Amino acid sequence: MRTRSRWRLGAALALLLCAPGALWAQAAAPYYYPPDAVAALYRDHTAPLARALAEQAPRLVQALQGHCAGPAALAPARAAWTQTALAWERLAAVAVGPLIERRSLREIDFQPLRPELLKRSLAREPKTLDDMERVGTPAKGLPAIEYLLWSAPAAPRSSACAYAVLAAQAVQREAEALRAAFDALAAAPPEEEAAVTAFVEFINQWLGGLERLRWAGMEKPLREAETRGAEPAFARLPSGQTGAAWAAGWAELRALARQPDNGAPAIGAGRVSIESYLRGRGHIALADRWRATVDEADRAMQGVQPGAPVSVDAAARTLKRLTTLMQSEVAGSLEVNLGFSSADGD
Amino acid sequence: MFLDASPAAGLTRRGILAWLAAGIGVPALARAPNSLLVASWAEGGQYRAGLLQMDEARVSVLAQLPLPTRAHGLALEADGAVLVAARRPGDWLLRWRPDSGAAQWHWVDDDRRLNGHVLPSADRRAVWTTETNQADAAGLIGVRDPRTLEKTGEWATQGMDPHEMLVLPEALGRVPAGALLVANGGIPTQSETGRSHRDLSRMDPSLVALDPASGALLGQWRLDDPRLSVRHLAWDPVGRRVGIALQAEHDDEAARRDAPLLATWDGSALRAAPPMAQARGYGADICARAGGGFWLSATRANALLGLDARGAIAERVNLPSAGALAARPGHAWAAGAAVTWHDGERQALSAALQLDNHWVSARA
Repeated sequence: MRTRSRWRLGAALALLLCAPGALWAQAAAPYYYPPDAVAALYRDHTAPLARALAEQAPRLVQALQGHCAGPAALAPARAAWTQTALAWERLAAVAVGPLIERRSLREIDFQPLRPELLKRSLAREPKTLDDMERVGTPAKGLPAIEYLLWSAPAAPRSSACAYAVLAAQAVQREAEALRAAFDALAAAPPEEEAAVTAFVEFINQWLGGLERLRWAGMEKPLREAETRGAEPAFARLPSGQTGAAWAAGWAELRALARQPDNGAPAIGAGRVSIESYLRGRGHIALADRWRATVDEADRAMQGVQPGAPVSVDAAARTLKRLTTLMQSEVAGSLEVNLGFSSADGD
Repeated sequence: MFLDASPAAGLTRRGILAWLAAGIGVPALARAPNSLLVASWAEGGQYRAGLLQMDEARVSVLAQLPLPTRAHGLALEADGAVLVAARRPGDWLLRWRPDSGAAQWHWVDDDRRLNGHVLPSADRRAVWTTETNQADAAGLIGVRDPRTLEKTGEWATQGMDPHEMLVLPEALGRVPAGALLVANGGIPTQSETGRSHRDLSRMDPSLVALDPASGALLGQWRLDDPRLSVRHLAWDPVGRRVGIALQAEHDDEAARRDAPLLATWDGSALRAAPPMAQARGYGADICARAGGGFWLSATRANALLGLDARGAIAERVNLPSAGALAARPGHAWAAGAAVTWHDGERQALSAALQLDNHWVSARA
């Protein structure tokens, strides 16, 4: 750590001495090291978002139990599902650490739902969470609950309603496990080599999250619909939350990409954005272009409407520019080898 | 990559010639004596597949189609249609008819992802794709209806990360002619982390031979070094063996730098070539070499390597970012950055056009 401090001081001095006057303000970002960025990621990003999900998930269980006990109360159950799904979107936008190790994306949000598998699973009438372990991931999680709240609303006291409660309890259990795992990481973030590995994972998974939003979420359904002559089958369509889900995920991607308007955080004082990391290392021109590209994407995302394919196409194109800039220049400047979208052909 | 004189390959060329003769908007091509290659590339941030014409001095695009994401492997069908597979982890498959421009898209929506290579079966009753089960990373051959491209079955490849396939053109050892050879790259991946290689200590590459009718395992072979990923395959009709292009995944940089890029299989054993100093660990593609042996593109070494039947380097051609290879008896084509190579001659290629790792010769 002492060595790192000496390097940090030296690097910051060199940067400030070399920066022209007009750039002093921008170059004022600290010289972050991977342990700084990773500790901030776990402390100020994933841990609070995991806590938010863990707080929301039991409300979904309670709302579904209330509906299933009767009389019918779909509206509060739907509202609870929406809040849980959006909390999940925020946490899963950049899937790092326990989200990967636990395979939580499959467990909570396998896309697309298999309605036929869901119907077969419903027919088996699972009674416990252990029974749910034997249900395939394409038939449970948030998409299955969405189906049972909107596409084929489960009636009170029906076996489908009991299935929805069990599926919500499984989501709650996974959310609680994620909260515990991310709290532990926040309390004892990795250091030295392990931190470098975690930083590489963060950058790769940030890009992976962007591509999941752009390609799997927006553009693939659009292209598939064009070739099939059908309407795009975006996720969260039954609940009408497609746009809100995109916005929630994008907000977190943006927060980890763009420096706040009030400047770069001091070390230990907030999330270290990719832009701040670049500025701290003296890549000022690249940081400026990165920020402008993020802002361009943000403007497109503000105007996106799932029912207007032109707006989806436009937003996806601006997100693609961000992907391209990350792959071509930013990752290299961050000293990160991209595995997610490696330039190698295979 | 290798178009030999088999009935299927002959029909493929005839198919291409038929639609050329019928007029595809470029009728002069039917008479042109130049090389035709089907390829995929990136240009100005857009991915494309198309038909390239190579004359003595340059390469030009005759027909093309925009792609949604980056492609990887291509294959010709008997009627001249082109099959294109998305790069790993891929979620689309395309059949493109250059004569009419018609495109038939197939989208992968199940819990599988394409691994980048596609191959029509010799009897034309199926189209095969290498795939990964995202639930457990197990390798699969997707058996598809040749008309609709819908999945009709799956065969286990007995490994992870299956990549290129090859139909064995003649019996070798105890493996019958027509067997489906599959290169299990052996690199662990996880759907949540896309292309990232994970936990390389679990690598388990292998070459397998499958019954082309049932998918039953006929044999499986491994190299001594599990950090050499077996990925691309070519048949050497002179040496009567299969060449396998390797990619090194060693933790140690020096081991990667000097790793052999070739293994050969003679029907009974899979053997790695001797270490290749400064080959830099990445064999992108492989094809047969006139007189026996193989051409192998060493992308990171910016070289096209001519290898004899035992795997010794007989020839080294400087070719920046050497990648796609294709061959017909007596001829070979190689792609690099801003330049291509055909039987020792070089042709200019627009620097804006970045060819992908594979292409297929349609005619010379």
